[in-house]
Amino acid sequence: MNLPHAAILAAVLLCLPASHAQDESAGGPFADAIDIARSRVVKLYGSGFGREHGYGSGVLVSGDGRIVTTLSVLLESPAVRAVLPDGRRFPAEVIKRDEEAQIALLKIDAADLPYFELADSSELQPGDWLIAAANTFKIADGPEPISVSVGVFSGRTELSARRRTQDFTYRGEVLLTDLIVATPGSAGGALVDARGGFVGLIGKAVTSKRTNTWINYALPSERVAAFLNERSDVEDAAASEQPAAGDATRPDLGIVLFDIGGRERPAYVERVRPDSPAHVAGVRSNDLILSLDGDATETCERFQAVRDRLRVGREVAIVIKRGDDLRTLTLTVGGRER
Amino acid sequence: MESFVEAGCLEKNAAKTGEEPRASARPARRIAACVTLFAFALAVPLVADADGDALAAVRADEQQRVEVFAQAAKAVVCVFADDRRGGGGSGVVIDPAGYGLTNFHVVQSFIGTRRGYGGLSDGRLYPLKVLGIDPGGDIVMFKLEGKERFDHAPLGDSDKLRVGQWVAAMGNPFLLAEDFTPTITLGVISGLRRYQEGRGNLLEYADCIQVSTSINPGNSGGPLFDMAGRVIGINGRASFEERGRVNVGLGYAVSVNQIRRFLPGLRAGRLLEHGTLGATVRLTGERLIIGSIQEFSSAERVGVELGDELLEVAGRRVRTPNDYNNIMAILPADWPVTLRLRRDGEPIELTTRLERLPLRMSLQYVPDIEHNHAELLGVLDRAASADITRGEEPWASAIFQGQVRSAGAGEGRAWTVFVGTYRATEPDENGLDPTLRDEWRVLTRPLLARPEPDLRWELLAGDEVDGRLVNVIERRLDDDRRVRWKFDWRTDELRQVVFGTADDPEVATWTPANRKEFDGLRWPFKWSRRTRTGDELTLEIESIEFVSPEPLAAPVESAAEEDGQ
Repeated sequence: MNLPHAAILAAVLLCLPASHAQDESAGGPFADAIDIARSRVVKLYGSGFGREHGYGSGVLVSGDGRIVTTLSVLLESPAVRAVLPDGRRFPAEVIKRDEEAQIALLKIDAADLPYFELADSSELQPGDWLIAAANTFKIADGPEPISVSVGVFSGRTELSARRRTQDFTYRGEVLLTDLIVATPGSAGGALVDARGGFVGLIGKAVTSKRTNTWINYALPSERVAAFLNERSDVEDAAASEQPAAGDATRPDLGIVLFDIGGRERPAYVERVRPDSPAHVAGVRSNDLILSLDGDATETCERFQAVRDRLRVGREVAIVIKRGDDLRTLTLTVGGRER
Repeated sequence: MESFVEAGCLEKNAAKTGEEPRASARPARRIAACVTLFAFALAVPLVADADGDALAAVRADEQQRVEVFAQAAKAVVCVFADDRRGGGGSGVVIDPAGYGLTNFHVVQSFIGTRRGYGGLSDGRLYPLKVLGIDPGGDIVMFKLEGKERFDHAPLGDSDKLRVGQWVAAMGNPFLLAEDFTPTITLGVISGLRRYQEGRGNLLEYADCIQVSTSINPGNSGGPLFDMAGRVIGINGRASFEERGRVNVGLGYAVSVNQIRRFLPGLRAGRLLEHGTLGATVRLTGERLIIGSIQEFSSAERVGVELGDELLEVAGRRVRTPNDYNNIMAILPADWPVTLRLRRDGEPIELTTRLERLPLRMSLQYVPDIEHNHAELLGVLDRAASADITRGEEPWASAIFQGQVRSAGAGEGRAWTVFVGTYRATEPDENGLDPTLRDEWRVLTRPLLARPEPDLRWELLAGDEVDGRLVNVIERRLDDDRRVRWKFDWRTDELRQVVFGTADDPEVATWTPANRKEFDGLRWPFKWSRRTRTGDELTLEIESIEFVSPEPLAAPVESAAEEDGQ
């Protein structure tokens, strides 16, 4: 934090709820940040499924219509629509996915849009003001401005969460806030600082494994930037002018674990799919997987997390315990179309 | 649609089965922010002196905020049903006489008896009586009794709100407050002009204020304050879905500017209905088009046509179906509304009155006529002290003299009319034809002397005259005609007197202007009368002789005489 103290205090002062200085026409200290956020967050619509909602939020990250959002059921619908803050509607196409972070990049055919430069969230200090802007509960329709709320940055933590009954794949650090953002439609929305800088992407609504309560968190802007900088299969394909291989593939070893739940869940293999990479490498039912690609896999979820990080086509080592034997096998990471 | 749930009317037993612990944690989140700031402030004395001033400013602001809310809290009411089992909610007193607002769904359980209790921050319970109700807008007015003067909160202007500004909700979430001191929660405005569907025509939240402020069960009916302590809305609803019935940062308040139009009718103790144009719209490209028109509706009557492009309703630009729903749903039945349309490229302007949107509920709600008449006399008394001087005695009479002029005609002619009940000194009358003379007598009578209202008198719901909110007093005459006096809601000045029939409520309209003193009597001296057919004339008063001699016989108010027979 290199800013002089005076400047910080001034910023804090501006944001204080002042009773006498309430200028009704000015809209308060957050007006500019709110305007910035509202002009860069889009409403997304697709089809819902079961308890999954068919609406969500996305943030514009380029002037030519690139939108980052969270992975969700709505993106699976044949016609995903993005509604811009001015009410214009565009069909959106998924051009990149990150299964581990559960985020996706969409593209709409538009130009000259306002968009977020990804600010640095590492400067955030607990207590700093944050503004959330999202299509929460799809309250706003068409050109109506989306919902905003104001709160503070609470801190950072490693996420250990589940989504309903399933483990949530994201393992990295997240930003925590006192803003309530674990609400329907908020995922994919923006957390901005008091100047309107994008610091985090509101994540999918998940519950903490420790407390079983909803977690109000966002993926840090750095994580979003890293995702944007990765080249996707689709982009690679486009670059080499080869036909796209459809949607991105995700790493697949062909191993089905014996996962009965409970507190301790060691990664025992229930079965191995014929002709899968694991089958070729010699993994068998009842093997206990101790490590994968150098990372210990004490539990089923740990194994899944490590597996999901693997790059398709790479050779990796897998250490298994079979009976009293320890064996190191080598397998080639396969890909599975989604 | 999502499952939106009314926030209020908490079941008392629900509160007893363990809702409290969750609730008590809520205010902590805002406090956390303040603590952070405070810690920040503490760290500052290490820095230069200039920051000391800033710190002092922070503390002064906080002090001011504390004082504003301490004052505002005195007007906040904890609303309870009369039997202590019907749950409760919150409310706010807006007038020193004890008039207050809460949600309809808060009092619904005791709407039969209209009696409940209101707890104030002085720790005492006061009897509460439900007056007018607006089930469509989820608002009712109540009156607290038992004190000469109640602390009350002023009403703000919800059209001036901005997204992001700080607001505070006060009330009794989870019915926590045993001593009736309200819970305060702070947040910002998250959205304006939100539309949230109701059920049937009930509890529709149109043009409402969306806040991040914690709104929990029990908050319903409580005030939303701006940072100057003005009421800008009545909290009544929140989005919960899958999250249990606790706040998730999305609360909705009925805007005070919507409520304002209903205030006269609420105070009169009436069952209020909302208005409808009887037309629907659809979005065609960027244009909002009239898509259907009901037979015999306001829209049809005034000449709206299918395919017209709707531009403005009641002075507000409408671009989407939600815009249209928002403006329509906040206007009362019979409300005058001006439409701006475009037809074949040409702009047109039409003015009509809205039809009633019938309430789809089985609720017989007859106004308490005694209360209604007390309010009616209150309106006349206030007008008498603010605008038009009247006689002391109930049989006060007056002789008016002046000039009458038809529109366009230069020459006026003199007129004299006697108004009153005592005929001994009745002068020769001249100059006004019988219709005019009759109307003049009827319209001046309650201005000259306090009437003794019978069942033909009623204080109606509010109306709008030249953009100003008015109280409306109606008197039905024997020949099926009715007269309506319209007094300004804020200044108590007489704005208009309208003669009509059941079929045509606006046959002739009298409008007073230019008050002056006549021998110490303040009275409007220039009147214009306009008929439905477009005839217009002006009546000028040159002198008023106020007479209240000893009556020869007991004064009898003769309806026949006043009705011009």
